[in-house]
Amino acid sequence: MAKNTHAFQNDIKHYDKIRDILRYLYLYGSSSKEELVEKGLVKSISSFYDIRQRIENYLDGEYLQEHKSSEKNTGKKFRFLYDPFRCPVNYLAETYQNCSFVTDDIIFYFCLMQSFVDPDFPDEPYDYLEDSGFLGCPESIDTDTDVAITDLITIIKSIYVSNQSVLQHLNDIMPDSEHNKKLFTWARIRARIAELTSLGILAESGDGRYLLSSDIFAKIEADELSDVQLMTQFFYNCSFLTVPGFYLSSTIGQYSQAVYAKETDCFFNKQENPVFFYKNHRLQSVIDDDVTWTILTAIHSASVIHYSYRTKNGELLQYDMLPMKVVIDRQYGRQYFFGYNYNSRKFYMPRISSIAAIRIDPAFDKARRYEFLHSPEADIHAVYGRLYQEHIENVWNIALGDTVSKVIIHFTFPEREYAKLLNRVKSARHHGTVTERGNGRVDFVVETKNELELVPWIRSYGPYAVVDVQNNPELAAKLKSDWKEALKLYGIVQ
Amino acid sequence: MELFNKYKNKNFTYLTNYINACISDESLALTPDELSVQLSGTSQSTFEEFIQAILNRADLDENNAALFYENKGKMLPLRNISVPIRATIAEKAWLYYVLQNSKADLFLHSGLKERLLDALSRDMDPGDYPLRPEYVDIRELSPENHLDITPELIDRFRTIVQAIRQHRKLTVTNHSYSGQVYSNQVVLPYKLEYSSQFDSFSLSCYPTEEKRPIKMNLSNISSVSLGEKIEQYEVFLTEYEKQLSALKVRQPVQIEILNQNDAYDRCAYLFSSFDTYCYDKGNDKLIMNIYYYRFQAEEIIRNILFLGHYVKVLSPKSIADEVVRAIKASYENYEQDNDQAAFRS
Repeated sequence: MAKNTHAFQNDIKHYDKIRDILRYLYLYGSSSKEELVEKGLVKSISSFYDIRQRIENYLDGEYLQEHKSSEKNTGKKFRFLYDPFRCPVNYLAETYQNCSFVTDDIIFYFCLMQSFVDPDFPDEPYDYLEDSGFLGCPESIDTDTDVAITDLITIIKSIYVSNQSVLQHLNDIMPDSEHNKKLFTWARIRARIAELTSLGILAESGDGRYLLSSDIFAKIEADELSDVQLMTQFFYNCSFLTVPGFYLSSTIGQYSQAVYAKETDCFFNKQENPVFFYKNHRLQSVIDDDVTWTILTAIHSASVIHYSYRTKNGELLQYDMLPMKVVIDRQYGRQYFFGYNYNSRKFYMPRISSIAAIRIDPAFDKARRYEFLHSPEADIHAVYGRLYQEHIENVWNIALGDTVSKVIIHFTFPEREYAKLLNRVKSARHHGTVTERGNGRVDFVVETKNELELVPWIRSYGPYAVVDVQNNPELAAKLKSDWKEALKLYGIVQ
Repeated sequence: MELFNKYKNKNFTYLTNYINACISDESLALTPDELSVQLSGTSQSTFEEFIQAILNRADLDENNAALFYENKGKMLPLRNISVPIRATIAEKAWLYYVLQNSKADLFLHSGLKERLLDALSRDMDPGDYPLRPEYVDIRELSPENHLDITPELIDRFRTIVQAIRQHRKLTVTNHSYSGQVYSNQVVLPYKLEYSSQFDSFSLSCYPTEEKRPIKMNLSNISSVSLGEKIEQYEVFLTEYEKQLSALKVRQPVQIEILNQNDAYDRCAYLFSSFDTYCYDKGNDKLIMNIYYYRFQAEEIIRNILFLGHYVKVLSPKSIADEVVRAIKASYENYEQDNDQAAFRS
């Protein structure tokens, strides 16, 4: 059978390939395939079908919905469903399980992982064979022992040779020594060992020596692991960073199966939320988790990042920035990062979802790295913290600014709803102060760097909230003008 | 290492689970066809070379995986060594991060938490994890929105979780917002709802007396105890979900969005946890249909007022009328204020 290099490939090398279309279908949907091509989200109608096939492979097809629009002359529209009861799991997280690999990756990985043997319970790798004399002495490594890279390479190679010999013995399938040589070259094995060490499956114990990383669940009992699993499921569904927790949940599932022989009806990882559901569960941030992870890595290593940023009118700009803080907004469910921008020499807070491509730039001009500091400081993370604090002080939510002003809002609540509405103000007061004045009246005072950022929050209380006209005349005028514009919408004023 | 990487591909998980399951119980092994079908996924046409290699039917210029051999029509693991399971650095860093959250104490008794923290510290210096609380600022809506983890709360929480997991009834004493006390109600628990905006839990349940789904905030529950098993649990679950779905309003709220100043983007984010769909009306205007549960109506109206004059309610009339009433009264507040200010000056 000839290899078909034009065959549809389900998995993808870079998450960027599906990021925009996933975000669009979840947040902004719905569109027909023609509209998606028009918007530049898919290259062509045929690549739309590829993407649709991918999505149906990546996650439960039930969540990608087709529907007929009430607009005339439009075809079927596509969007992602969200409903707290029909969508008990974060289905978008499953898209992270589809990074492409080659068959040689599988061969290498399992030869490596099945080389490790528990010294307390040493399994014989081919004990089921009636006659294993032809194999010689099967190789293995104790799980708590480190080994030099040259020995590791020898063992992995010999395991594959043994496996193939057994396969020939049992199923009459001939090995190919020419292919073996190409498969296990020094460079290829070293590259994969480096990947697995960077991932954390292998650990480097000394110069050129490696061992399997430790079993963090070794002293955890089966029922305790079940509690750890429930905790993991809870937190990855409500944490700002989903994917590492989603992966951990899969790892715990595999561990329960391997070590405690937990019964399961599926060999793939199957998400569950048996105990919790989540109010205002916004799934969209998972789409940027790999970007957020890169930013966190850069903050940790005090590195510069280079990234492409999509502006509101679709322009793609390039920036160099020193990230200092990841910032999570609870109001709209958006994510940002704060840092120093080398292009404009200013501090900014760009949105993470507008980043089109990001990488850590170790080669960035070292002389410029801390140019925003008056004098060098030893603890760079303390500097990050201090600079962020200076900029975020008195910021209502995320809008940075230069001048601080005081805002006074007068609330008047009807008696029957007083307790509920007072509680609502208190649970969204940010750093403002709430004072009860009696007779249903409540005063709210806050210092802020950007008065306009409060406008939507004030509007959400409708007639119950009035800005103090004397203290904040411009803000009051803005609210009045907003309400007038809203009345025009309904034809109530001209 | 990047978060999106090949070792987390679902096929690696599948093969690990398959090998380990067959080593402990051979009867779980599949035929080559069954294995092929499961690995192919929904599209039945993905990555043929990989599946052929797994079945040891690789082309002449490809390698066989030699992970399995065929025995009496079943694919069994060739090497009888369990694949060890290890957490990656990203997973360990994330676990360490959540263990520092006080809510971890709701799930893990202190001995277990200590053992986990100890195991993580022995594996790697936690100072080397790239995920640390000081790198992140979560802009909470209020400093009050923080669940106070007391021993009593932990006890009540674990009792409720146990009841949900074991499909058992609960006897609950709680008070409502207005202060009314409900003593020793027998309820059938459904699930715990968590709000990350307000850091609070509510028990979604079915009091046997009321016969309809209700929600009670965990902070308003003063005592809870485990009851007997719920008979015919699957029937209860189906019935409960049917009653919840009956609360879904058939006619969506339809709004027209003027797409200026990023209004559409703000609207999409605000409503991202609702079942919505949008279409372009032209002239910088979009129509959004918001499907909602009856108990979400108030929140929708709040969000509409929040978004201001960029959003107009088209239907239903009841919601449009309520929004218009609120806007009129809000505008009149400022007209009155102006009159008073003019009078004063």
